[in-house]
Parts: sequence; C-alpha cells; structure tokens
Amino acid sequence: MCISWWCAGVGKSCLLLQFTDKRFQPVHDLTIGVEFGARMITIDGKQIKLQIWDTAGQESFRSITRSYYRGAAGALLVYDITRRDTFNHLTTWLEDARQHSNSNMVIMLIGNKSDLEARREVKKEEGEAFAREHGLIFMETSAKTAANVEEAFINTAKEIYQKIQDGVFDINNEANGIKIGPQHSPASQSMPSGGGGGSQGGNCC
Amino acid sequence: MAGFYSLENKEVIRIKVKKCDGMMQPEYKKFSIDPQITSFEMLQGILAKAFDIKADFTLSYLARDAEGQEVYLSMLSDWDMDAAFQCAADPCLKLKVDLKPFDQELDDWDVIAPTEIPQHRITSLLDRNSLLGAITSNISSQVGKTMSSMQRAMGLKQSDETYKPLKPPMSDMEFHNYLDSAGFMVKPNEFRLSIYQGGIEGSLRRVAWRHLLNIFPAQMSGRERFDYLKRKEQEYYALRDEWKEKFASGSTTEEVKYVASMVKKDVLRTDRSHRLYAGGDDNKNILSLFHILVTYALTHPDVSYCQGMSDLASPLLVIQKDEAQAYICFCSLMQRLRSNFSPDGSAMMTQFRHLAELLQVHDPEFYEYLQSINAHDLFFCYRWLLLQLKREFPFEDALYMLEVMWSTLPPAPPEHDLALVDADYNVKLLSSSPCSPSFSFQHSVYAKLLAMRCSNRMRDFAVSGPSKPGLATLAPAHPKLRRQGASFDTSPGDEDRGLDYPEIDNPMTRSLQRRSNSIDQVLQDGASAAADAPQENGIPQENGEGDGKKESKDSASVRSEVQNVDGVSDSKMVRDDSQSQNSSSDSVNNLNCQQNDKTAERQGKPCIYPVPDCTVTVSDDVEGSAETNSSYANISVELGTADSEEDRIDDNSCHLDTDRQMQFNMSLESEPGTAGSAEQEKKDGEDEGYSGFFSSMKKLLSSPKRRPADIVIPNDISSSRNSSFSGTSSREQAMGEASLRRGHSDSGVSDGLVDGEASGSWSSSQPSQTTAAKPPSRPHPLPVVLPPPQDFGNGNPFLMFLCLTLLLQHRNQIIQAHMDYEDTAMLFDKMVRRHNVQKVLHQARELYSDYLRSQQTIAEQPANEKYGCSV
Repeated sequence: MCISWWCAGVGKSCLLLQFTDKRFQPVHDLTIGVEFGARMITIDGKQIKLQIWDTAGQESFRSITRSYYRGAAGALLVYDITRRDTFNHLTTWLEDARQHSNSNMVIMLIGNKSDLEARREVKKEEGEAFAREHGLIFMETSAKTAANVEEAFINTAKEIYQKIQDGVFDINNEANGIKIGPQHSPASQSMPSGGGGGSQGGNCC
Repeated sequence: MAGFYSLENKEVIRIKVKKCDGMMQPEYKKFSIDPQITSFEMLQGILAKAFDIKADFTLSYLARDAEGQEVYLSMLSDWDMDAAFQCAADPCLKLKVDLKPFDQELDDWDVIAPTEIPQHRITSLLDRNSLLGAITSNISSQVGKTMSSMQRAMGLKQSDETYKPLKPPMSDMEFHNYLDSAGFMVKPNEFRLSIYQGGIEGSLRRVAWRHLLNIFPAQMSGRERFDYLKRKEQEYYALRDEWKEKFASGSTTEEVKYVASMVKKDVLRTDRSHRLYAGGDDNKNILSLFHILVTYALTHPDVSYCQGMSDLASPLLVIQKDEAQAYICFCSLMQRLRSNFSPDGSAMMTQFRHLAELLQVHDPEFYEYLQSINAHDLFFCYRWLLLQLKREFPFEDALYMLEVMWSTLPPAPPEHDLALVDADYNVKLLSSSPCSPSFSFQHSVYAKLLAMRCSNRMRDFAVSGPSKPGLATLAPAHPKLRRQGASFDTSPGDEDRGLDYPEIDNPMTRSLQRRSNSIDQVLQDGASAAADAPQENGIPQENGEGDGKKESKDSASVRSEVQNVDGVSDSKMVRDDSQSQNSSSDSVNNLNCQQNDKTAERQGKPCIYPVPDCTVTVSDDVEGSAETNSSYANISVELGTADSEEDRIDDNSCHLDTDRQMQFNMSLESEPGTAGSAEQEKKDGEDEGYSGFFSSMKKLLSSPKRRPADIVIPNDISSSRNSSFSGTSSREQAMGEASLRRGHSDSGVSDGLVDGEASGSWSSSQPSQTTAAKPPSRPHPLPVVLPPPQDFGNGNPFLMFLCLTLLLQHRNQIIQAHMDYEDTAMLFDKMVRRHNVQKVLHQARELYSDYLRSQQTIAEQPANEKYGCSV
C-alpha cells in the first residue's frame, strides 16, 4: 500500500508514523525517495501484514516513487484540507495513478489535518463529492490527534481483503502487491502488502 | 598579515568577561590565557565552560576607536583575537559574551581569515602541552580542541578498538603544516590524506572545509583568501537581496513564490533536532538555510530547488556558522552534486549501476540474493546516494564521514573564481523582467521518467534486442526535453512533443506521453503564473540537428554546464552520460556499432584494460596495424576532442575477434606523443590531477600489515593472484578478477556495458584498446566492471565503498532472515542515523584501498611503462 500525493508536506509521513508507531511527530525528516512502514493488523480473524510505502512528495522523486506504485494493492491519496492547491489536482493525480498502477488498486482519498478546522480551505463535502464521483473511499484524518488514522488504513486493507475474497486480485501474482504468508514471515495467513515486485515487476512500463 | 602582530612579548593576557543574557543580570568572570597557545576556538571553549553556556554566543571586546571612545568590537576569529590581544589587552582584555544565535548579528559578521596565524605561533604551539597546565590555571585546560580530541578519544573507547581511525583528527597545529608562511596551501594532497585518515577537529572544520570544498582558487595566500571570501560574501548578499527585496515588496514573480514555499516547507523539517535549528520555526538559522536554498535555486534555474538540497546545505551552515560562507560552500559542493538532482536522472543511475557492480564483485552471493528478490537495482539506496549518506549517521558523525569522503576527491580549485550563479543567470535576468528564472520541474518529471522507464525496460528485457531508437530514449538529456524545461507554457506543444519522439512510439511510451501531459497539467496549474516564462529563455543547448548531432550537442551542453568547475569534471560528466546509455543493456554487437558514432564523440576517451598476466588483448581490427598505431598516438594526444580517429577506433572495436595478441603487442611498441608532445604533456598533466591524486593517496594508505603497494610489480600479479597474494588480500584478488572478467566479457564486446565502460573509463593517456584475459573460473562473462576512480560513482568512488560497506554490514541479517525487497528496503530505511561511523569508515577505507591498489596494478601495466603515467 502506498501513500501518495504530489505535494510535499501534506502529512503523509506523519500519517504513517501515527499508524505504525501511534505517535505524532510534528517535525519529521522530509522524505527522500521512498520510506517504509509496516504493521500487523487482523481482519476477519486473519493476521495481515500491511507494508506501506511512504513516497516523497516532490516531483523530482517521481520517477523513483512511481516505480513503487506498480506493485501496490492499495493507495492512500492524501491532501491537506488547509491547502486548496493540494486538493485541486486530485483528478490529474488519479488519472496518473490509475494509468500507472494495477487497475484494481484500492484507492482511499484522505483529507488530512482535520484538527486544523480553523484553517480549513477544503470542505468535507467537496472531498466526499470527489470520492463519490471517482469511486474512492473517503475519510478525513488527523495525524496529530490520530482521528480516523487507524480506520483509514484498516478500511483500505479491508477493501483489499474483500477484493481478494472476491477473486479480483490474483494472489499468486506478486505484481498485485499481495503475498501469501508465511514462507518467510511471521505467522500470517494472508498478507496484502505494499508494493510487491518493486521496480522490477511487471512489464516495466 | 603574518607579521602584523608580534605576540611573543606577551606571555599572559588577563581577561575580564561580562556575560549578558537578555534581561538577566550580567555575570562577570576573570582569568588569564597564554596568547601564544590560545586559539579563538579555545577561547570560546573556555568561555562556554566558564559560564556553562550551552547555546551559541557572540563575543566582542572593548577597544578604543580613533577618537579614544570605548567601543565593543566583534571577535569572530583568531585574527580578531590576535588584534584584541595586541591592541586592547592592556592592562586587561575586556570581553563581552552575548547569548544570541549567531546570525542575529549576521550582517556584522566578519570573514574569518583562518590561516593568518604567524608561523612562529605554530612552533610555540608545539610546546603546548608543557605550557598548558601552567597558564590556564583557573580554567580547565580540557576545553576547545583539547576537549574535542578527548571526546573523540573517549568515543573511540566505546566502540571497538579495531575501528579506530588511522590517526587523530587534524588539529589547528597540524593544519598549518600544509600551508606555507604566507598561507599558501602548499600540500593539498597531504592535507586531504590526513583528513581521510582521521577527520578534522571540530574547531578546525570551519576553515578546513572551505579548502576541502574547493571554494578557493589555487595559489592564494591567506590574505588573498581573506579578501576573496569577503568579496564573495558581498556577491552573495547582493544576489540574495535582489530577490529578497522583491519578495518583501510583493513585486516578486510566482516562480519565486513557488520556490520559496517549497524551500520553506523543507527547511522547517531539516535537522530540527540539531541545536542550531531547534526551537520555534522563527529560528534565525532556519531562515539562513532558507535564504541559501532560495538564492541558489533562483540563481541556478536549471537546477532550481529539489528536495535533498536542504540536507546537503544544513551541515555547511552548521559548520560555517555564516549564511554567506555556507552559501559559497554550497555552490561549490553543488557543482559536483548538481547532476544528482538533474532531471535526466542519469547521474543517479550511473551510481546505482556502479554500486551494483561493486557489490557483484565483492559479494556475488549477496548480489545474487538481492537479484532473487528483485532488489539488485538497489533503489532502496536512493537516499544514501542523493544525500551523500548524510542522513545515515548521527549528525555529528555525518560531519566526520562527509569530510573523510570529500578528502578522497582530488583538489579541484576553481580556475579563477567560484561561480555563485549559473552562467546564464544574468542573461535570464536581462531577458525577462522582472526576475523570472525558468524552472526545470517539468522536464524533470518527464525526462527522468523516460530515462528510468526505459532503462528499467532495458534491464528487464535486454534480450529483446534494443534497437537504435530504443537506445535513443536512453539518452535522456534530449534537447527537446531541455526545451520543455525552459518553459512552463508547454500545453500547446503537446502534440509537437509527440512528434519529437517518433522513435519511442509504442504503447508504453504513448502512455508515458499521456502521463507527462497530465503532469504538465499539474505543474501548469500548480504554478500558473509560471507559464509566463518566455520560451526564448530556453537553455542554450537546444535544437540539435540530426540524431548524432543532437547527442553530441547535448553532451556539449553538459560540458558547458560544468565548464567552470574544471576540466576534470567536464569529461567526467560527459562520460557518465554515455555510460548511462549503455547502462542496462546486456546487449548486442550492433548496438555498439550503431552507437559508436555517438558514444565516441561523447566518451571522447579511449580505454585500456591491461591486466597483469593477461595474454589476450582485445582491440581493433588488425588491418593496417601501423596505421592503427599512429592513431593510438594521436588519440593519446588529442583526447576528448572527439576527432575522427577516435570514432574509427571505437567503431573498430565492434569486431575485435581478430588477432588480439598481436594487436596488443603492436600497441605496446607504439610510441606516444609523436604527433605532439606538448599536447601529450598537457594531457598527462591533467591526468595527474586524478590518477596522481588517487595513487598518491593509495601509496600513503598502505598500512603496515599490508603489502606496500609500490612493491607490486606488474608481472608478479599472475602468480600472486593464484597463491600467496590471495592470502594478503582476497578482495584485491576479487577485484583483479573483476578486471579480468571485464576484459573477458568483451570477447563479446558485445556487451554494451563493457563497451561503454571501456570507451569511457580508462584514464586519458591510454591508447585505445582493450586488453582482456581469460576469465579465471567464471562460466559466463559477467558485465562486471570497476571503473577507474575518476569515473567510479560519478567520480566519487569512496561513496560507493561507503555504500557497499553499509550493504555488507547487513548482508547476513538480510540473507538469514530471507528478507524480501520491502523488508530489505525497510531495514535500511530504519537505519537512518544509526550506522556506526567508525565501523563503517574503517571497513570502507579497507575496501577502498584495496580498490585503489587494484587500480594501481592495472595502471602499472605496460601502458604505464610506455607512457610513464606512473604514480
């Protein structure tokens, strides 16, 4: 699973840290290339290891980060509710992401920084409308207060899990970003995991 | 200046200090120091200790001005301090300590003239140990540099004894041994070697880094450096104020705002745990970092700002403690590193490739493991390479690592003046009003993407036989891309752009096309006003005519970009470019042939792989060996000029199955420089810069237990490789074999990589020929090449060995736990700032000196005998 958005500083890394470490670190190193997080969760009684790739925001890393999308089973698309510019280009991003990734990739739209209500520039309704229009799941989160952070990741994971159950994802194809445990990993039944084949996967382009 | 103050006559200076901390009651203390052994840094240390000051403070002293009025003058350097001792120390020197962040008074800051210490002080410093205890009576003597060496020593005790550096960090005293009495840097190589072995004392870093970072032109006295620095600072402030004033008055362009907002976001999260950047977001040092990066971005429109730069600039500011000086250092550093941020990504790809090759040579097992988990592209090392490993160690350790790494690079002083702006900066300023530098984000996205994708494809599917068009896409610095970069207003030209890439018209590239259009859209919207950037602001090197021409023009443009650095990096960059072309292909003969007309021009350098016991030489076709000989001579003279001779030779190297042995012998007999010994000499001289430096370093590095390098005689290698020598250094053996393999693999010259490396890699005074040997044991020729130092890792081989060390230190963990790609990447990701600098440097130094030795061995081969480029 991948956290992505074009703009720097919308709080991707903070969201991830809140989810994996349950803490908020307002000052976080700016992400260079791709960083990583992982956490075990339980869905439907099954242990699932979520591997999350936190991609850098700036365009100059796009070529590196992009190679990671390809194998992702899910993506969190994060914008900052206090900065309209981060919301304005969602369509473009989405097109790009869909072109680039697995067509079944579950995408959740996240409006982050919901704790900063006073500085809100993007209404919740707008986010909802956008998500509805494009068939995304939507949630507003706050990496600071942890509001909805857990839910955002877990709902995305559930969605992926559901798709596996429905046979949408071919679990034998690692390019989907899903691997069945537990060959080498701690006891786990099914592991939707971020990324998968890395930059080597698939037919390259 | 050395003679201005004679300090011998004062043995003790009495000092009274007043410490002011905002509204708090001032504190007073008094003590005495010996002016002959006390450096400014020591004085600062004493004061910090005396008042228990943890933060930064400024220091001033009470003096009388011309009218006899008492005024406080800042004391910022040894120079100021000497002046104070001389003029204001009767009967006692009155100092004032103000607790402030240093840059609150930035404008008042003077330039430190570090080396202005009279020579006689050095000798007196030699007696320091005997004097210290007696004189600094009421203050602990373990402050300042003494303290820092103590800390270093203590730190060492904690870590394993075996990791201790080869020598203690360079002290102020030692530093002066590398200067002459007028302050000329007379032993630049020894200076670097010393740093390589033990780093620099904290108190000396500020001065020593300026030399390490090549900010001074060669042959400057201390006085001249002082004036130079002063002038450069003024230049910086002028550049900074130009945009700042517009910014403040609101008359700035959208681009400036855009850059500023990006930089701001990043400086607010760069090294905030360091005390100089800690506290609120209004921290003055953060503002300085902001100024540095914005000024750089605006004055270097082709580079602009990219994430990662703040990490590179931050240590410079911490050490220089002055915005302007840090900027100057940053400019110099970026001259070497800017290609890492360049849109085409080829510099980064070269390094990934070299690192992979190195790993393959050193630890084939681990490499194979990574291959099995599809991680052998080593993309998870991206941060390492981009930030020069700065984030992989705790901040203080990173400083040490950085200086050691820089010390491995040959001195590269600017020819006249270090450029603080890009060559075309002023032009742009003039041609568009008010100030509207253009941006490169766009071509950044698109070109890099192309480069990456294509090289991925090539790597994955090299078997599918890349055609010429495919290769063309591998040369990412396509003129057209540059044009895109020059202007934001590209949406109307989208179709045109499609036409510009007929060669890559396939489903994959079409989708890329679409994507890039959508990226354009984002950027366009994102910085709508930037679309005003006039097209004619374009970068000079666009519009090549004809395919080959384009390529060469392009490399010429790369050249021009770095021209002001120095000739060395010039050729380096050009070659990188060509290497990236060949990077991913395990491909075929005709590929090389097709490329040759281009690569020859771009690589401009012939090559040789002489291997000690090798018998088989691969080279050009034999016909007309006499003629070939003469062309060798020419080549060795006219390197880099891309003359037709070279082209031919490179062409020839496509079919070298014939009579290699003979050819080799021929080349041995050919005499160099017949066509122009002057030029030959010149070339040799340039070459000295690199190979001379690296080999002098290598020589000095041989540690006692190792066999001294200079004993290695060429012909001795064959036996040693098989038996006794292997005991001494198995790594070296591995490297030797790598070279052998490298040579061998061009029994299928075939190999794109080999050919590319070959043509580009050997030092310039070698004849154009490839020497090869039978592979020792490998069943298949491997495309494994360890390029010579000037090429390896984009001219920074030591970085490759540092990265290799990090990989090797975790290889067992990774293999034993059967980590997959993500686990591996995550492991290294989590190691951020946690690597042990002593341990890593220790191992990296060993690996590196093995490498240099193996390179030396190659260099000492016949070619060496002939051309006397020995070392």
